[in-house]
Amino acid sequence: MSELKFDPKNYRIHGEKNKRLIQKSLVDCGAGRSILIDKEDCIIAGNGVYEQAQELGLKIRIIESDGAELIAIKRTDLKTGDARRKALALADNHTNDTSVFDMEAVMEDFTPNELDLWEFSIDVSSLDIGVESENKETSNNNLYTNKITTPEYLPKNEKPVISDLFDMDKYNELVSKIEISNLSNEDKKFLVCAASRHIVFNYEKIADFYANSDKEVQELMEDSALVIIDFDSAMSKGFVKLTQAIDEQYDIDHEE
Amino acid sequence: MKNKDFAVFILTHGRPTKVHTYSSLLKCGYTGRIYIVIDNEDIQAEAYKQAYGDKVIVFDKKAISDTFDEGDNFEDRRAIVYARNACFEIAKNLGIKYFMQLDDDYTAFSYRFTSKGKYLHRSMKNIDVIFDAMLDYYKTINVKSIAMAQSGDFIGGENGQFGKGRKLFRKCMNTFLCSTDRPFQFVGRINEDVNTYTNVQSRGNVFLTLSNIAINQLSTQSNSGGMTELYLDSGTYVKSFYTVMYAPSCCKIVPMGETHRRLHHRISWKNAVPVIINESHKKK
Repeated sequence: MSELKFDPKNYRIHGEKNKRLIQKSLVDCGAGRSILIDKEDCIIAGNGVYEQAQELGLKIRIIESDGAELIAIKRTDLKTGDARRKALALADNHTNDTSVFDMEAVMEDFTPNELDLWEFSIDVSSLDIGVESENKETSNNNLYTNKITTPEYLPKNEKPVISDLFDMDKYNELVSKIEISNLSNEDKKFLVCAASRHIVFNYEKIADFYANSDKEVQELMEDSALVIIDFDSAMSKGFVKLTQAIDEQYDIDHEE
Repeated sequence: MKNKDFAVFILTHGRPTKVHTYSSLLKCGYTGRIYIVIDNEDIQAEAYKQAYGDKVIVFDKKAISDTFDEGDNFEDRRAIVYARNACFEIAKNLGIKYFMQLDDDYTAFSYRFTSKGKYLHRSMKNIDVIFDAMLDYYKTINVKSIAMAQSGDFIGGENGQFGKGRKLFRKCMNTFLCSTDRPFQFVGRINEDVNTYTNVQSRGNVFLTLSNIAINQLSTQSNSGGMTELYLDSGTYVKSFYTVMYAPSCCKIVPMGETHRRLHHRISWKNAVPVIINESHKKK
């Protein structure tokens, strides 16, 4: 039999404590539920157990299956009331609990939707990526791309109407409530001012408007920071230069 | 390091024996200055000083808390936002112009693409060059901060948004490269990074993240069921509301997941920050 291969992308991290407990389980209770391998002898489940079994020099017997049957391992040396059997039941669960997911490996191989189907929680607080979903590129199958992308918006040639640039609905709703309230004028003034936080600006439309406006309007819009001008394409050109520097160092580090 | 006016600040609290970022930097060949930034409410302060000597900088947490909006009245200062805001003053006092804020739990600094643009994950061996290149870029552009990506950005691997190519994104988390000449204030006790890059960018400032390179953080398992899951989910839920408070016109709470329902914030980017356009659109 060929040597079994560890999963190059094992989703579990086996720390020292976990390894210690797996070994203790094998020594104290013998082999339990065993491990799972694919047709190329690469381990699907049980990398941690196999590692410790190797250290202990345990023999390996392979049972072939196409997944259409459940293989039950009968431990002929254990009775239901045995202390060793109880310890194995504890160890079987505890050794699993003391390893952890390699979240990076999992996240690289699965989309949030796929993980959701497995009810697998991930902290997605970092997943706002500063790009609108409707602007997402369609996936290309070319894994090699030298395309370097910057978040520059290309304004449309059509000038939008002013009413397209911002949405006052929520603001107006709040202001109406404030105005009919019995608050002092001073309080009302503050609340009306605070309500402006709910005015929704559409910065893409604003950029379209800017690009199709005359110099005076543009300058006033710039004063209000309604658009950001990448002067001399500094952001884009600089990013290309930065990428080149990183690539050069990558080649030095990894001798490509 | 070619740039001598630069230092790394590792922001840490209560775990002097677990400042993984320090050894990770050295492993990647970093030769520049490192400071360990702790607060005066840290009971492990002495242990930090024993381990890192004069590299340890202590700031007054309560004093800093009075200088910015925490977004609540909880008086619970177990958050990184205080250290983040303290860094600007610390840098000034040390005579440092440029600094990078790092958390203490980075296990590696990695390339995410080959020089041919193929998506992968390989370690850096000379981070001085990378930091210098980032600094050179930062100095030539008018932005508040730039950052490396983080492993969580690469969800979906080469099919995910970050894995598709070398790009700039208008977010900023974890590895803030800053300058004392370009100060900004982090806001909100929780979710301070998202609060800040939406809030500060809405007024015409820019934050950027490069997908070329990334940090790896200690894995945290959020799938262990029971109370852990409940805590993490409610934690995300509470976290999200801070950003809604700061940016109500572009951030909302949405349910996510079909099977495992939970709440999270969603930012509508076209309503969040002014877009960047080429100078050619400006009338002369």
